[in-house]
Amino acid sequence: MKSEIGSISPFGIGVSAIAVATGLVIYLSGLMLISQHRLQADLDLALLQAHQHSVNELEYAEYSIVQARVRDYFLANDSQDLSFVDLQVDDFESRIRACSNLTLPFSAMNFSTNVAICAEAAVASFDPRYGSRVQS
Amino acid sequence: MRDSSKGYAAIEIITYSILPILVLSLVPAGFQAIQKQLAAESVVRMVARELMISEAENPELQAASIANQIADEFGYPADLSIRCIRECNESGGWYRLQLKIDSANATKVAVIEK
Repeated sequence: MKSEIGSISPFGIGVSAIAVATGLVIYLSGLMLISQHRLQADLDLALLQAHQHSVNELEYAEYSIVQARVRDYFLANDSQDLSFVDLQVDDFESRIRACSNLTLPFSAMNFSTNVAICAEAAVASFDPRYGSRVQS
Repeated sequence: MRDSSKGYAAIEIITYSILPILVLSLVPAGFQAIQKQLAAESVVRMVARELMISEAENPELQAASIANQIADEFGYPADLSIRCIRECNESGGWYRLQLKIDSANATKVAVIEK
């Protein structure tokens, strides 16, 4: 693998670099994909149960009830630390956008190791004013 | 060959031959691990969602049945456990679902309210 004694083969360096880079890309993309998928599911389920709860109680979605239940759900579900949450509640439609900070396992290196993972979910129920039964 | 040259050659063989082979041989295993984790996350989410929407009478039984049905379609053997974490009675409750597909583990909370 050496071109001559004491020197390093460029081919060897190239192969090693490609192998390490491939491994790193797969590892990091997998980590981010799984986190995004998990956050999306958490938002979807949290909003669904919160909206459903409010509609069961009041027959429409009320901001403070939905917000409290979403918070309860995140606590019970041990959801990742959320850095940003934007909740919109209309009478029969709720929407949530949230981001969480994913810390990459390179804290020893001298660059930012946080990646923002974001997701959005929405849920709607029928409006009884138009003759439909209220249901999430 | 001098001793230092032998040592240098050994390090080069490890760094430039064994390391790339090792890393590249782990790539398919990595892909499979990601695939299984995503499958576990998807299945547990679908089970939780289904339980919440259908307002299941018997969540334990229904969760296992839905998980097996979905996992069969995915082609993975899924092992689901469900336990009550808050206020479980005839009118519903909070349940923690834990799903295992080989080494992949996914957990979600399902809230059933009738």
